[in-house]
Amino acid sequence: MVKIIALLVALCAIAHADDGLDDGPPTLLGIRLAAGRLPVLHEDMSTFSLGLGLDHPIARRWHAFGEYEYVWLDRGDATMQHGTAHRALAGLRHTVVQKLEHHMRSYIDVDAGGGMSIVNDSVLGTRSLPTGFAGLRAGFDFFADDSPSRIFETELVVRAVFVPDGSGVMAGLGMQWGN
Amino acid sequence: MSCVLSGVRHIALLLIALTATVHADPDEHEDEDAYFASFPTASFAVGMNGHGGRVGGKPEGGLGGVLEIDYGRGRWQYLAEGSLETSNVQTTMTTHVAGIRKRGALGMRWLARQFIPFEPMGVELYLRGAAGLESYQWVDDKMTRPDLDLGLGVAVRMFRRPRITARFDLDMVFAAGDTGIAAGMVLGW
Repeated sequence: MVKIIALLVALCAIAHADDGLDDGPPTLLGIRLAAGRLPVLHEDMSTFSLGLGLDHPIARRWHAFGEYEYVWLDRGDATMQHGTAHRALAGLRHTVVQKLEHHMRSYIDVDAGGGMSIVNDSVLGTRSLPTGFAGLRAGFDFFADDSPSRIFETELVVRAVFVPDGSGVMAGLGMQWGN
Repeated sequence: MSCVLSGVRHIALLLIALTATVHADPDEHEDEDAYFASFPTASFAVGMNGHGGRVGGKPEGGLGGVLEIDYGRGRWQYLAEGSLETSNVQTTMTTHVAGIRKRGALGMRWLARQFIPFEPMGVELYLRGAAGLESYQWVDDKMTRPDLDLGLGVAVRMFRRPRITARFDLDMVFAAGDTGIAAGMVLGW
């Protein structure tokens, strides 16, 4: 728990360190709400997650990103059984299609990566799950040169999530700000 | 209770570390912070709040109102908030117990990002943390426990009169081994 919060603190510190107002490529700091399904010990669970992420351009059309998600797990049958998970992921994102307009960009990206999930379940106990993912993002970037955050991005994310017990899916809505 | 107090100590230390990190070089950050539209010195907010989680391992949730008083300084806002909500605990798969939940908390909010597409309006991202005390009163029982919440907020703020902020908050709430979620929609002045 403390380690996860320390990770959040580190993310905040990095985000703050990037507040310099140079003209370099902006690091995006953002949030995401998502829902999906995930198999844990062959039990198919519903998930709802709140995520915080950092995204940095590394080349033309390529971004590297890191994410932390707090995940609520639910069996969906109104039992007293429940669980939560911490999920830390890193990955790469590539812009496949984009259209630039005045003060706006629309895009479709593909992303993939991996990381670790630590699940704490009232029935299954604590388990560490190596996690991989691949998916699609689509959304809009809005630009304002005179704003503290020069970019505001909205996104729709759909992903396949791979864990040792099988594969799941997640879909979410996110917003990112780039200084 | 001891694990909660241990958690409180750990998180308090981490919050202090975070504050120290971002204030480590005030001269360096002064100009950057000045570029942001600061929080108003004094403000308040009212709205609706909902929460869901576990009490003693049993599903619990409710809805109600929240009132918040804020003191702003640059990109930091210090807050005191109180809420009064319903509380429904699911005792078995088919029965539940009704009650109320009162909560008070002290915390702070950091203006992490601010996008101003056109004056005088901005779309903002906040990160926030608060420590509080929640008190439950049900028909057949009552309970008081400390909690900690960590979360974020997304707001649309007008920088000129009437200086209204419409904010959506979403928090993870940690209390005595139970983790829940709280969400609120508030209007601030």
